[in-house]
Amino acid sequence: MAATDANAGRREADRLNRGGFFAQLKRRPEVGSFLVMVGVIIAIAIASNGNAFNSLGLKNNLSIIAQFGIIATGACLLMIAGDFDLSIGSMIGFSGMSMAMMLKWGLPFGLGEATPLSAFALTLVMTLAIGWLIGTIVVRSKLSSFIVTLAFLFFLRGVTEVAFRVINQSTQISGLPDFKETSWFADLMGGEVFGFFYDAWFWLGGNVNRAGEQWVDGFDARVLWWIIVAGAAYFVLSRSQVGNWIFATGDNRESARANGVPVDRVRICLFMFTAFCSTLFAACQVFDTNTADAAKGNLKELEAIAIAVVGGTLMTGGFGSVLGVVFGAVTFGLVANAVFFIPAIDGSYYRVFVGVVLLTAVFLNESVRKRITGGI
Amino acid sequence: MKKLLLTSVALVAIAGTAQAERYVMVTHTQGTDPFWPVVERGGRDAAEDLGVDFEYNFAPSGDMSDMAQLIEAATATQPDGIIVSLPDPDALGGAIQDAVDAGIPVITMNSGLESSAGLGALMHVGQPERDAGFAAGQRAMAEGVTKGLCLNQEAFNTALVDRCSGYFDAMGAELNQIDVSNDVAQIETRTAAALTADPEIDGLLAVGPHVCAAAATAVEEVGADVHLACFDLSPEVMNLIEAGDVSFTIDQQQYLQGYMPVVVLHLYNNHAGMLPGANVPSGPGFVDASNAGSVSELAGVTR
Repeated sequence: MAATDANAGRREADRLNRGGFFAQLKRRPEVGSFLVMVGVIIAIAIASNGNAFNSLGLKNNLSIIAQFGIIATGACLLMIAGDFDLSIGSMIGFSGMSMAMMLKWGLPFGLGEATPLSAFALTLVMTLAIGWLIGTIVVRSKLSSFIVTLAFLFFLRGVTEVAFRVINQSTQISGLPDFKETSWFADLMGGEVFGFFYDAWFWLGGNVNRAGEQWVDGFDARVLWWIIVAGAAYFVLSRSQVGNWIFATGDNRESARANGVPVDRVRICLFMFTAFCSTLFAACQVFDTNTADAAKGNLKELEAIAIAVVGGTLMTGGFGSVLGVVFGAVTFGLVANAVFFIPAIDGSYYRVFVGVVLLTAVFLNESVRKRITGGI
Repeated sequence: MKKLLLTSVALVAIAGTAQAERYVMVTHTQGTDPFWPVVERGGRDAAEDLGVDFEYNFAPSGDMSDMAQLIEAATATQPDGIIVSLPDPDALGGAIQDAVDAGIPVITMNSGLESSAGLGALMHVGQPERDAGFAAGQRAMAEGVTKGLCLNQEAFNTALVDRCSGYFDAMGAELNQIDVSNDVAQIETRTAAALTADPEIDGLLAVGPHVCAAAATAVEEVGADVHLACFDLSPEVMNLIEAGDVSFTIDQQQYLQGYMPVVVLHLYNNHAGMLPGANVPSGPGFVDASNAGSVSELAGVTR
């Protein structure tokens, strides 16, 4: 009887708690991408004499990391559910065009002057509708999402270009007034956040520019948005029933359906989520720089997928983690940006590094995954 | 009888279309940049002023062999003249030569100055990019630049690299350029990174208008005292010039690259082969604080 008492409250999942702290850590799906990230951070810090992580370097790197992170989070959840979205980059171009166009020429259907909030809201309604349409086509037609979203890659870029040329004459809008000064919403999207961090840094004696004044005032707002998006995605994926649905949908669609998972609805919602992430990406850029052009977001869909893969997401679905994608975004963002802090290296080499890091990360992730899953 | 009727209808239709003078323009834009619509507008305006027909075409893929096919297709329609940009003479040369052999007058514009005559084109309208970069470098040096950096958004584009190398040739220095990409956020952060990495840099050349605006932000962020010169125009660049953040920008006046060839072809066809004695350099034209106000109203439309 003593043995039964000792077993009281034990569950099958407890087997995962065997072994020491490191043995448990080694089983986390993020460990591969974490190691790559640490390696990249150390290498860049040394090679740039710490310049890449001085106050401006930190702000700028995080700005790029955050914008990669936002779209990669969307791409990651969708890939876990077994689908791709190749329309992310074109969706960024479309929503950037839509917002800038409304701010310059007013709302459509004679609704009058646009404010940043109304321009964003109306654009979001459109992009979510397009996301819903993409998802519905994929689900109903049973075509590969690769093909359907590829079609929207061309379609949306084309619509963006035509709208620019017909309405605006030029394919670029620039010289808009700085809405950050007049609208709290524009400031929320394109302004600065976490100013206390840099204030404290300055107070501690760092963060000083060449003139001896406080150098940087805060991080770009997209850092906050990235934290919110990644946090929400982490909660949904790892702590909610919907998260289980997403994994089940990507793992084996038919058995998921047989077990009562609303597979179609999950997939459509995730296409709408990537559309949302793209719109957020565009809003952060448009309200930061007050410009938009028809090429905005070009190739970003492939970068989002690359980051999701560096972060340990499986191309075939059913496996991945938001935390891994956070590490992936840091790695990818640093490689794409911080190389320019190293005077010895010609900046044109950054694509070479991107390729090397991508492959290294995938190899590491592969070996980690085989160890924890027993070889899927 | 029916066949005869159809044939005569077809003949009338062909004759009808052949009446008006018709010019075809093929460019290497992918349709997304703000530069080419100005060229197109130049061509259209010229055609309207002269009362001739004008067709505009480009390959959205940016693939040179697709563009060559467009030129071949244009040749097949027997227009009164073809206007073509020539970024890659090897890929497009055959198609252009075929058009010339078919007796269609061809004018090259924008890029391809070196190979224009060799392919049998009548003339070239464009800005010699290296010379334009050289002019920018000379002026930057006169304004106190000692060490420069070129910000290139398409490091594989030879025309843009020519601008950079001209800039450094004028200073007698080695080419020093970084690939800043076309993403506005990355242009800004990479420029700031390069300025931090080498504090000796006191001159920047941005070879595109969106790069120019992002570079101005980066310079302000780094807090460095840097001379910023740019290429091409946008409303934002004009504001920066008026605010004194950008010293000058070089305007290649691409409206002329669309407008002039149509006029020249029209004169050539109607006045026994009348032709200017030399290529027409559409630029460089300097835009600085002295003329920014008048140019800025037209930036992105005809300038």
